[in-house]
Parts: sequence; structure tokens; C-alpha cells
Amino acid sequence: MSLTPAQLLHALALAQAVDVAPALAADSAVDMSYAAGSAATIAGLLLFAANDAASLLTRELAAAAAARGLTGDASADRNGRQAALASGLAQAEASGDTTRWQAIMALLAAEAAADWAALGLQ
Amino acid sequence: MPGCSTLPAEALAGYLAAQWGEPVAISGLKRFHGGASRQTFRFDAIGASGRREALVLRRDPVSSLIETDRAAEFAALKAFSGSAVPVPEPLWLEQDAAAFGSPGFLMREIAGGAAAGLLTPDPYGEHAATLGRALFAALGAIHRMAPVVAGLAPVAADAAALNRLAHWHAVFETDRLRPEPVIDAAFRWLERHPPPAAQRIAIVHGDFRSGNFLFAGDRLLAILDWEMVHAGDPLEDLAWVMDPLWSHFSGRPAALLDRDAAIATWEAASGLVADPQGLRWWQLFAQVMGATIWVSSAREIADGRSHDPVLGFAATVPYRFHVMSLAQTLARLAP
Repeated sequence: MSLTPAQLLHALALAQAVDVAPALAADSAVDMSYAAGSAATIAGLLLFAANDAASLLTRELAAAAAARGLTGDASADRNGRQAALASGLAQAEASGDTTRWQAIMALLAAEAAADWAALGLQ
Repeated sequence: MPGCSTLPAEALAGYLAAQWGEPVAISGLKRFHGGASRQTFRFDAIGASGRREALVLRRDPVSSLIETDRAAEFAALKAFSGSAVPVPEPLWLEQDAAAFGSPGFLMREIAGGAAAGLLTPDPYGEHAATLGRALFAALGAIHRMAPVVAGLAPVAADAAALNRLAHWHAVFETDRLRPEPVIDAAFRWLERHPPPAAQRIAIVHGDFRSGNFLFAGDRLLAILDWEMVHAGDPLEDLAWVMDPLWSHFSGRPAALLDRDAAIATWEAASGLVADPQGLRWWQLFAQVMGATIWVSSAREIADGRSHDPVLGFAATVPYRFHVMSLAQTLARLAP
């Protein structure tokens, strides 16, 4: 495939928004106002997915690097990294280690902020 | 999932003919887009005598973002119909599937109103302040109402918060799909730092926010979507409507009033005080409840029970927003 996933999703989003949704909205059948709304929502989701795909690898590498000092090898895989950070938070709570707890939470906040920004909404 | 095709106009015509005592024709039947916990349709019913009414049907979908009680929703609409809290007038509730294809109820349509979309910037424009005073006053009026008026079971003032937390924690544990360190930590924080007892146990709308009311210009026409109504601490609603997710990126609660004005309007209308410690707890709770609802929407799709793009949207945009805001809030707290 010559297109990147982000390019393909972006094109699908435009086709859905420009060609499909307006045509459905113009139809007077009972289901069509619902279908047009669904088509518009799908167009938006495709656009978000395109934006997300464009930066996914970069964000994953950054998150793994940032977490490596706290999670070690577990940082290579997203679920493994998140599970290790969850465990780290619980341990910090049990031991009353506020500094470590806040450090882990700040790392998670940074990753979540990057994931939000990747949607391209603001 | 049943589509609109499972709601033939003939079925509605037959149902209304029995209610009105005359033959009824149905025209203009449309299904609304949006809303993940009810299917909503509008139509005109026209009797043989010339009687004509614009009606709305809300019925259960097969798959829902949240499990809700249609009888409580109907009772709440009844309780506020004709009061200072504007609501659509409820007409008939049917608890089995025979009448409408699934359990649901009919109510009168509110003509000429609009509801704001989540991502619409500045949806209220120059009318924001007037509309905001009306909305937060309506919320205060809801919170003057005792739960028994809507047939809701009471809850102890010192148990309201932790009962709600336990409810949503159980939902989250059932529906979670992957490690969620931020949401896990938020639930633990809320459990370790319970808020003061509720000043009053009142009717709580449960989903009071921008997007769930109809407006026209500066007029508040109707408070909608009562499917999550319950007895509880009024601060739950106040925190939810002020959550930044519903601010349309404005930084103001519901993109209507600034925070102090919103709280003052609600306090004057409710006769309650927005205790800062309690409100802080409920604001974190609001983010946790939201995150849990968005996780549940992801579960519906992942398990193949739904392909509704509204659920896909919920599992993406509001989910990421609330995980981010939760982590940022928690990072400023001590465990």
C-alpha cells in the first residue's frame, strides 16, 4: 500500500463527510436523518484515527523512554508499561511515598495529554 | 440492534388509536441521531377528528452505554412537568416490548429548540449569560425536590457519595478492557478521602450538562435525558455540569457562566451551599464516572454488542479527555 494508514484514513474521512453524509441527509426516509448523523460521526472518527495514526509511533517511543526509569523492560509494550505504572502507584500509596506517586502520575498525565493532543481537536 | 425499520408507523398508529379512541395516522417519523442509552424518534400523530400532536418516543436499545431505568426517567418527567423546571410532558409508559418494539414511553415534542453538540465551539454566543442563569437556576430547583416525589428510594446523607462510587467502581471492574492506572488510582483516592455528608438528599438528574437541554436564543426550553435520575447529593449534578468536558473548550462551566456566577446562581436557587471540600471530591468523581462510562462504551463495541459510532466516539474523545484530566488532577494531589 502506497498510502500510510494516516493518509488513507484521512481520505476516507473526507469521502464520508463530503460525499456520504450530505446525500443521506437529503433523503426523507425514516432512518435517513439517523444515518446521516452516523455518517458524520464516522467521518469525524476517521479523521481522529488519521491524526492518531500519524503520531502513534512517535508517542509510543516517547512514552516508553520516559517510563523506562520507573518500569524497566515493561516500558516497551503499552499494556505492560501501563500495568507496571499501575503497580508502581499502588506500591507508592502503600508505602506513603508521595514523591514517587506524583512522579508516576505526572508521567501518566504527560502521556494522556499527548494522546489527547494527537486527536487534533485543539 | 433493531433499527427504525422495527418501528413501523402502523404500530404507533394502532397504539395511539387505542389511547385517543379514534383512528390515527402517523407522518414525519424520524429517528434522532445521538444518545446512546435510548433510541429517540419524533413523529406527528393525526387523528380522524383532525386532532394533531407532535410526539417523541424514547425506547430502550438492545445495547446501551449505560443501564438505566425508564420508569424512573418517566416518573421524573412527571414530577417536574408543569413546574419551574421545564421538561417535555410525558404521556404513556410501556414496560414491555409489545407497543413500541422495546420498552419505552411517549412524550410531547418541544418545538423549535436545539441542543449543543459536544465539539461545537461557543454554542450559546451572546445568550450565554441569560441562558446560564436559567440553567443553573433550574438545576437548583431540581435540587429542592425530595426524591419521593419521583418515586425514588431515599439514601442516607452520609452514604450517598460512597454508594455512587461503589456503583461506578463495580461497572468499571466489569467493563475494563486493559490496564487503566489513572482510573484505578482515582477510584482508590476517592475511597480514601470521602466527602462530607450531603447537605440534603434530593433528586439528582444524573446527566445534567450542556447538550442535554433544549434552547432557543436565550430561552431554556427543556431539560432532557433523565435516564440516570436518582436520589443523591446535589453536588453530584453541580460537579458534572461544571466538568471541563462539557465546556466547549471555553473554560466556563457549560460555556455559559463563569464558575463563581454558576455556583452562586445554583446556591440561590437550591438554598444549598457548594461546600468546597465536597465539591472538590464530586468534581474528581465526575471525571471518574465519565471515564467509566467511556470505558463501558468501548466494552460494548469490543464485545460486538454494538457498532454505533456514538459509542466509538465516546470511547475515543471523551475517554481520552477524562483520562488526561484525571491524571492532571491527581498529579497535584498527595495519595
